[in-house]
Amino acid sequence: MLRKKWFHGLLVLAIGLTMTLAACSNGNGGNAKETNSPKKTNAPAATAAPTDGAETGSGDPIDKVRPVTFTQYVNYDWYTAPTWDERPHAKWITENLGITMEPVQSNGAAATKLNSMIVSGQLPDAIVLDKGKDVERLVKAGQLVELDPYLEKYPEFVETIGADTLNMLRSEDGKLYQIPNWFISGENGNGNAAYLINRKIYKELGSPSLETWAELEAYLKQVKEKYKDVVPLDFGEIRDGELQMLGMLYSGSADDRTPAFISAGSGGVFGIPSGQELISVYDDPAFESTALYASSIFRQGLTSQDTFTQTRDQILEKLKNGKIAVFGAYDSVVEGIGREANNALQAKDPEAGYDVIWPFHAEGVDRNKVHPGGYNTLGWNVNVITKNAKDPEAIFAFMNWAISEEGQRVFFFGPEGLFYDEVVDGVPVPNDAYINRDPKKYDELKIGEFNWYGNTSYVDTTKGKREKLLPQEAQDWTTVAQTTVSFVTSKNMTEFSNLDPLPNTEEGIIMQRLRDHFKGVVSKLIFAKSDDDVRKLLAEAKAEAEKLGYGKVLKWKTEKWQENLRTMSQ
Amino acid sequence: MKLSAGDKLLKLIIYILLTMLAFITFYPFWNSFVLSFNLGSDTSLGGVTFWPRKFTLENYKIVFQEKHIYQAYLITILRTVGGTLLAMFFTSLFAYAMSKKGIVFKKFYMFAAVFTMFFSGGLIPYFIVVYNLGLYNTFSFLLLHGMISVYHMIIFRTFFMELPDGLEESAKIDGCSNFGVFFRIVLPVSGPVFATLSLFTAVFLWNDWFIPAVFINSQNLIPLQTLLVQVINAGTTASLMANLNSYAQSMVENTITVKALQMATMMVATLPILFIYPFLQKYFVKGVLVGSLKE
Amino acid sequence: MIWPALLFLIIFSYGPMWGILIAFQEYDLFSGLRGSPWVGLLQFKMFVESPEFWEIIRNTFAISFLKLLIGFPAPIVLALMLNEVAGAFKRVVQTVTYIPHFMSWVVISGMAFSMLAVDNGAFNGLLQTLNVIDEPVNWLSKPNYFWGILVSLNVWKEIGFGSIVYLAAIAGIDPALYESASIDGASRFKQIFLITIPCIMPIMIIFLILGIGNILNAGYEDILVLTKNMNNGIVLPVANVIDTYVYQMGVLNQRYSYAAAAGLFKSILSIALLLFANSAARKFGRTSLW
Repeated sequence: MLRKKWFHGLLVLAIGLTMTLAACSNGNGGNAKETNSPKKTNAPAATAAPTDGAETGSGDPIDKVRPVTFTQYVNYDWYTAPTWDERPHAKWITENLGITMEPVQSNGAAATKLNSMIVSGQLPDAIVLDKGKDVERLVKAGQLVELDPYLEKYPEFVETIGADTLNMLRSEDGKLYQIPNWFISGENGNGNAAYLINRKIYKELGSPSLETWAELEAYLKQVKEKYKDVVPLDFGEIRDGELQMLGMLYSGSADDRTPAFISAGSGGVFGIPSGQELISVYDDPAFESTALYASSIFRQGLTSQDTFTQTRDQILEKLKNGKIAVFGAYDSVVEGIGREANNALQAKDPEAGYDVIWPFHAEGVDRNKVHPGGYNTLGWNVNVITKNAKDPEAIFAFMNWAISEEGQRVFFFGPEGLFYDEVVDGVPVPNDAYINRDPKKYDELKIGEFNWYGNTSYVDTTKGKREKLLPQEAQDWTTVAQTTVSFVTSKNMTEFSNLDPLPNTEEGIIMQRLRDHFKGVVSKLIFAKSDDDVRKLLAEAKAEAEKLGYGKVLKWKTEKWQENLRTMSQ
Repeated sequence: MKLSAGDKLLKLIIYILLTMLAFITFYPFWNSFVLSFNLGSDTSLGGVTFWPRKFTLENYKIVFQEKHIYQAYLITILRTVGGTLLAMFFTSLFAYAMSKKGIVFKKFYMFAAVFTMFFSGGLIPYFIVVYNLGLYNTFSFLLLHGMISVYHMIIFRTFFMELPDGLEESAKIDGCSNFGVFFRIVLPVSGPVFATLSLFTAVFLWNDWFIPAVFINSQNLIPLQTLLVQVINAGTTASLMANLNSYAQSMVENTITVKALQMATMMVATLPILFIYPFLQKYFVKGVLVGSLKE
Repeated sequence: MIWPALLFLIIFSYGPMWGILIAFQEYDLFSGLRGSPWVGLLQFKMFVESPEFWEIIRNTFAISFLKLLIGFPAPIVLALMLNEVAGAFKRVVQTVTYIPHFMSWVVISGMAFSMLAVDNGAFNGLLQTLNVIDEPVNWLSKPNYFWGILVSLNVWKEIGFGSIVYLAAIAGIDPALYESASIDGASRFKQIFLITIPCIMPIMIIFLILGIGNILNAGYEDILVLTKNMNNGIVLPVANVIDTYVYQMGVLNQRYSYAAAAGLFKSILSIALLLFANSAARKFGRTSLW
């Protein structure tokens, strides 16, 4: 025991010396492991004595971390990584854990970049990417490191994420290669889908009850009459082939409906659960009633005629000028849409603004079973470690620490001593620096960057608790909207994961045709001239889809869904 | 020159049409220029047309704060100038040879060249060739990519073929070699075509962001346009990440919108090359050929 | 003189040419050319028999034809007009008209969407003020208008830049020709037709031949942004062309061999058209490509 401590001390000294030499005047640099112990206010006492290396099964994630430098590539066109040490939390990680990440950029051409890396054998050590076909490609080619051997050594990894979530992340060969990002391990879901109403207009029209489709339609007619240049009802921009108007309305068409069921885009289900099977979208009476309603209000001019072509910018312009009375979108409550529009209107007129409301539904539908949003415990995307990495376990150990409460704290709230000096019950207590911060400068620090290891439950609850610790300023509009409506009306969609057939399989080819077909169907439905027209179009579409092979795809999807249910209940 | 009434009317119509055309081609650009100096959050309210409503240099600050921007400018300028010179030199030589009668296998060479305009192995095989030649992530590659444009070669060739034979014959009689004829006689009278194709090549090299995005890895070697794509993406990231997982922490209203950033970057990238054309205009001078035959 | 260029082409154009072979395989990125199985003409068969095939071919030809019909003469007309004016006006117009060439399609489409919108769209507003229409027209959501909008935007973007070549050619015309013509009493209008146009005929023909050979390259980036990345279901039936299809299949769906087959199909047709156009030009006596 003594010899171990002695050796450990020497190691620390060596690291400390190197760091102090490397970063001339930096107070924290020299005391890597030691500064952590006293500050771990919520760490179980048993592990106060640091063990070095990952020999034992239990212990704090931070102790299992060892220094490593690795390259990481984020597979999205729109993402550009700044240099690692430009961010305070990243700098802390390098100085205290000896870990540095070197980004490889996609430069706006992600798919091509990934392919070129594959053919030149120049894969980076770690990749962040969407689940599905790209990961499976890499697995099939034997390029990824299996993570199963580490699960025993790092049991807290399994605990934090959840065993059934991990099971769902296994690949076709039954092995685990993926580490999820923004996985959800708690009870509550998240989501940003909701309807907003223009406060001023609502008040001026007498604040009528707005719950059912009929009430909505009556309200929209009133708006149209009284306010000539206001769009009564508008929706978010078209996305991946999905028309938000149809999706949002669908969520209220019957019990337990959510837009993903009628979405043919990637990640969509494109099938309605009925008993143990997934049935055709065209066989769903709820879809029919949605189409009838949507087409009718479009025909009456109660909703924007630009719905197929308008851009996000155009919509935001209308919102910020108060030119929309009712707005629905999958992300309406985010800062960039709802909050910005609300603040813009309020700045000019304190009575004006947008409020979030409970989603609309058809008559007879249970209001608690309306789900415009959906969440997945598997999270958003995943991390994989490639065979290129020289020390894959070190990278894994780092990610293991990153997903833990401690890691998330550093990533999301910054390193200790910057915006908080103590941590109580896992919640960082804001210090003066945070309370009196310049919001702009705070934004520029971009704390939270590089966080591809998001632990939703921890961050959500902690964020909310921290908010309460702040002095009484106006509560964040978005947080209120999320906690009152959008989080609550979000449906757990985990069982419907991975229902996208790979594009070069037979089902995948059919799915692509169905996707294109559906886009055309939707546009025709909206522009239909009468209710009978709608019904005719639906019947035709159903027949055409069947001819294209929809039945086969549904069978495949049903099988996958049932498999998921089995995996999850293990 | 006397102008008939019909001619005068024609001239008037032409002036009107040209003015209208100038307006519709200029206004969108001017509007973008104005928006680049306007506060993004204000722009999103709509209605900014001929003049900035809330003037700001913020958008440009973001672009120029990018550490590598000066390096990127340098790379782009070097690439454009160097690449254009190389391209013009080798392509015109080839074209000149193809324009002369009596070259053995000429039809074969022409066909081989034109074939490459239509058939290509695709990006990935090209990547493999480049990588195996050790040209991945090198400046040399930036100079070499696209150096021989068959399209340009054809234009050169057409031009050279239209030159009067007398010009070259008299030089040959004086004992000039083929190269000599090319450099001393043909080149000087080919002002317009060289000016035009240099402009085309320069514009292509200046604007190309995709190829360096795939073939260049180090931030020190990426040209301006690729860097700007990164800048725009970085600005888009914040809003996209917010939409995807609601975890943005932005406490402040976003005054810098994606659109504003796009406008500023467009100006930074485009204005320099726009100024080249007026300089080349003097080569489009009439009567360059006149006088050379009058002897 | 020939060798440097030829060497370059051999290395960089013919070197990767083996990539064409993946059209005859079921190519897998990891197995490479040697490891992937050969399927002969299967990919071509799938392409030609796919339900989208005729639609794509029709769109490709129609859009290209329109682009050629309007986009080919437009720069020529501009060059001719510019030749008739002079001084600062000419220089300003010349410089200004070539600016759109430098604007990216992303930006242009954003502007187009904004202008053609029903809610607050400037174009509809203008037409209503001039009493041309009563109600705003939904330009972007009617398939019939798509081709018109696409071609118009393309002409707007390229007319200035495209006129440069012709201006260069016109600059090479001997002014003495004009002088003797006016002495003979020809009006300026006649001179354009009898002198200017014939003198730039060779370059016009070359461009026309190349344009015909290019007819299957109906567009790609412009169509992608104007259909909002192929998401606008209303216009998809008229907007999908070979290149966007190849992009969808190849890059997005990773069906490399299938995309390669479609691309190869296009190349073969293109070269056939080129040969046809070239021999037609030869028959008419003037210049040709070879």
